[in-house]
Order: sequence, then C-alpha cells, then structure tokens
Amino acid sequence: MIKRTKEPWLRVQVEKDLAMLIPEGEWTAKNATDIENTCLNLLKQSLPKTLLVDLSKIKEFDTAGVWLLQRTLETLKSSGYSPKVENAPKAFSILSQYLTVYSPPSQEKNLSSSGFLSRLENLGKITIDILTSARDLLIFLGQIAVGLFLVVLHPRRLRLTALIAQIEKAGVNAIPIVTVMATALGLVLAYQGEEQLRRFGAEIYTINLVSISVVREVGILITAILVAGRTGSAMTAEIGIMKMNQEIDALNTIGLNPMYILIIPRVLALILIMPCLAFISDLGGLLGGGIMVVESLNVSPQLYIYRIAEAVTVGGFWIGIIKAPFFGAIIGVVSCFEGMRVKNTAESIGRCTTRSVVEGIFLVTLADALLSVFFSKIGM
Amino acid sequence: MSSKTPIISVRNLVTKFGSQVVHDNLNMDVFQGEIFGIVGGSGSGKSVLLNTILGLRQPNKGSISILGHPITSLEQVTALHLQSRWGVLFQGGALFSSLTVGENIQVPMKEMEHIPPDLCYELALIKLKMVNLKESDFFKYPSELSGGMIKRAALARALAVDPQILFLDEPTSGLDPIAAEAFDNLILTLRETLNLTVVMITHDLDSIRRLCDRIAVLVDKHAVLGTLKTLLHNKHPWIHDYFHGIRGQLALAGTQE
Repeated sequence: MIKRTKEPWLRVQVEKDLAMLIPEGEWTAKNATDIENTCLNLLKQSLPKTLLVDLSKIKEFDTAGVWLLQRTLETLKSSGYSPKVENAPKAFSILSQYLTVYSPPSQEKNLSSSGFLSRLENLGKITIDILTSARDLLIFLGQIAVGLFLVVLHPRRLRLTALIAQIEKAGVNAIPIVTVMATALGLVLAYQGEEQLRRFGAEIYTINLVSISVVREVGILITAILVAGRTGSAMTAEIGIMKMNQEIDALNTIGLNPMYILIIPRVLALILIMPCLAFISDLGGLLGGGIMVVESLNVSPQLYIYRIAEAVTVGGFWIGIIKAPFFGAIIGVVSCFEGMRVKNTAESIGRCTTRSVVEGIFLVTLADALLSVFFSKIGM
Repeated sequence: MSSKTPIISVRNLVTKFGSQVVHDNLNMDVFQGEIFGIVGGSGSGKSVLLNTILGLRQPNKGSISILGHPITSLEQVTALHLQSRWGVLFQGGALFSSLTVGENIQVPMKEMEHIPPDLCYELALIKLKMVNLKESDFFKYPSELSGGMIKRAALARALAVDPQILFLDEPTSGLDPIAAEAFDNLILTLRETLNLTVVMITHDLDSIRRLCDRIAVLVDKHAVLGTLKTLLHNKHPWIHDYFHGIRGQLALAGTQE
C-alpha cells in the first residue's frame, strides 16, 4: 500500500504485524495544509499496533512539520499504538526535544453568560466608564484651575515661550481657515435668508438676520468647532505620544510639572486666542453676508454697514465674544485631559483623539445652549 | 559557510543623510548558516545598514542582494515573498500594540495562507514557549509586558514562519543575564536544527563570543570583517579599544590566543 499525494507525503508499508511510516519530501510550514491532511488520513486507517517511523527519507523540515508529525504520533499513542522513531536526523531530534515539552492547552475563550445578562453587564460597564471619566474630567478641571490661580499669583511659573508658541500654532495659523469658513457661512446664511424673506417683501431684513445670527451665534460656534477639530485633536495626539514615549514621566522626574510646561500654556493660549478668532470670524461672516446683499439687493456697502450698526447692539456683539474664552477653555481642558488618558497602544491614541474632538464640540454646543438660555433670561 | 555563494551580499554601498556620509563603499557578505555580528559605535550606521538590507531604505549607491535576488525597494521584497523567508527583531520590539502577543505571533503565519488557523494557534504557542514566555502571556497586550518580555515576544514573532534568515537588532540588550544566556542557547539550537542564518547587531560581548562566527565592525564608514580572533589582532584604534577595553577583556578572557 503506497500512498502518494503531492509533496510532502507519508509512505505507509504494512508487513504482517508491523507498519512502516516513511515521511518524505518537505515537511515545512508552506505545506502545512497538505501535511495535516496526510496525517489525518493516516489516523483514519486501521494499522497494526506496532509502528516504525523511518525519518531517513525526510528532505526538509521545520517546527511546523516536526510538530505535526509529533502531534500525530501522540494521538496514535493515546489510541493504543506504539510508534517508534528511527533514523531521525540529529537536527530533527533536537528540535523535537524542544517541542515535546509543549502541550498546548485547549483554546480558552471567555464565554459570556446569557445574552441579556451580558448586555446588562455592558450597560453597567459603560455607565461606570462615563461616570468615572466625568469625575476625572472634573478633577482635571480643578487641577487646571488651581494651576491657573497659582500662575496668577506667581507669574514667573508661566512658560511664556510655550504660551506664545501655542498662540501662534492655535491662533495665528488658524486665521486664514477661520476667515474663509466664516465668509462662506455668511454667504450661505444670506442667500437662504433672502429667499425666505423675499416672500414677505422683507428682503432688506436679510441684513438683520445675517448680522445678528453671525455676531451672536454662528461666528463663535464655527470658530469653536474649527478649533476643536484643528487644534484640540493636535493637542491630544501631541500629549498622548509624549505620554507613550514616557516624556511626561521624564518631565516629572526632572522636577518639571507637566501641568505648567504642557497644559497651562495650551489652555491659556486657547482662552486668549478664541475671542480674537471669534472677532475675525464675525468680520468674515459679515463680509460674506455683505457680498451677497450688495450683489443681489442693490444695497450700497455704506447702507449695509449702517443697517448692521442698527441691528447689532453693543450687547449683542459682546454676547458673542464673551462666550469665546469659555469655549476655548472647554476645548483646551478636554483635549489635554484626553491626551493624558492615552495608554500604551496606538489604538488608544486614535480613540482619545476622536473623543477629544467629539467631547469638545459636544460640550461647546451644550455650553452655548445653556448660555443662550441664561442670556435670554436676563434679557439680553 | 557550507556554501561559497553568499546568502546576503552588500556591494559598494553608499548611504548619505543630506551631506553626511554614513557608509562609503561598504562591502560585506553573509554566508548560509553562519551567525554574523555587526558591531560599531553609536551613530556608525548599524541600524541604517540593517534597514537598507531589509529594503526599508533605498541605498544612495551600490547594490544589495539577498538569496541571490537584488534588492533595491520594498516592492521587490514583497514581489519575491522574501518576507516569509526572513524574520526581523527590531530594537524596540515593534509589536503591534492593538494585538495580543499570541495574535502578534500569528500575523506572519496568517500572511502565508497555507497554514490552517488551528495549527497557527498551536505553533504560536510553541514559539511563545521557545522564547521562554508563559502561556498566560499569550493573551496579554504588549503594553502589559516588561521590556525583556517584549523582546522575547518580538523574537517569537520573528521566528513565526521558521525563516531562513533572522535579523536581530540588539537582541540581548535589556535582558537579564539568565534570559540573555537562554537567548544565546535558543539561537544556537535553531541554527543547528533549521540551518538558520543570523545577522545580529549587538553590543553584548558575551553574545559575540558565544555566537558569532564572523563579525563586521563598522568603522570609518567601512566594514572591517573578520572572526573574533583576527579582530583581536586588528590595529585600528577603535577596534582595539572595543575588544581590549576592560569590559572586552573581562568578557573575552580565555579567548585571547
């Protein structure tokens, strides 16, 4: 009985009460599927109890091949056969000695209990997770508040160079994109508003619509969203990588507090630049609205500016601007907080950066809603 | 050494970073079955040389051939399926941080397609134990391992597909002496059984003495090749200091002559 498939194969010769198993060819990982099939076929056959494995014909082998042969022999042994290995090359026996020690355990898998229970468990885990991160965020906010207070008391603790560098990165470099986006939004608002107002013959009120909404809400919101996406994510990734590289630990051991070196300059920079960016964004929005109004309503630029002055009160302007530092603080605190939460995996950088942007925009919008309610209650 | 044709050959390699020349007409050959050590001072371009051989970096000039195939780019490496014939242990381990140790070891195996998943799992466990890690480490993430354990897990990944050539970048640095010795033993066993060719960058003089058949010393932008014995007699000041410093004398005591 000669069995011959593709290389590698196992020749089986039966003589009375003795079977010779002769592995031939390449018993290597790239032929693993063939080898496994061959071995499984062998196990299905009925053979005499005494087996002689002759390894003199084996051409090439590696750990995969040796392991497969050994696994088969073990199975044969446990089902009552007595296999004996002969003519093993020296290298083969050394390798198989290395492998005999290992009996792989059955694959452990954490089987969840019932579907409902595991979902309940998940719900609980997520709830606890959200609550703990909210608590941690509050603690972090407190630390920053203390840090800022100490900086006010001892101005020498402030890292001026770092602060200015951050102002340049997060503020000055963001001016072009903020302007362009605000202008485009002003244009869109004016076009949509004009179309609706024309039905009442009140298209001249487009100017009021655009100027009030841009100055009070849209200008600052679009700035905040942009800064959260542009600067917040960068801050989280930066601090996160520094944490992975143990740079934060290094700072601590040198006696430099990361709070003053990294976090306060970033948060303070955002608090300082946000009002400026909001102002620029207001101008951009008004410019965009103006382009449309002057173009299609036959209003002179002078009249447009005059109507804006009528529509937007000084209070209205300040309502927009006063929100800016708060939004800046929210974005700064959230992105630094998420940066410090980065663990030692590449995945966690991605997760924390995403969370920083999403939480930043979410909290900014929430704060905006609350402030709007507040301002309308006090009659502004 | 069993065959005269080199398994890796580097010819007239020139590497530059801007105006800084790292390698200037560097030549070296590595033969089948030998353990080849690369030593040199910091900044002498050991890791750069390794990256160039692996195709991760294009040489500015010169040629490199591995197993008879000329290598100039990573695309060629992929096209020739060379990556299933070599294993690489990077200095920092470079384990995939989002996968467990077991999954890390199985990555190169799954790339080969011929290995059934169950066997992948078993082989990964075998490799894990070969490098003296515990079964419980199989399900851990790299961030939960110590530096030495990361090294060993990375070695297990490098050995995953039983490569013909093993590239090691400072394999024993960061290991305790017992682990380093076990590592040396493992490399010797693998060489004996699988006819492995090993190219290792190392500063560990004990490893050099125990393992390396031949050594390339990177000095003055060139490679000075030789066995430990011939290099001990080399008159170049850096090489002399390297092997005859106090550390060198302690580690190599008994090798002299």
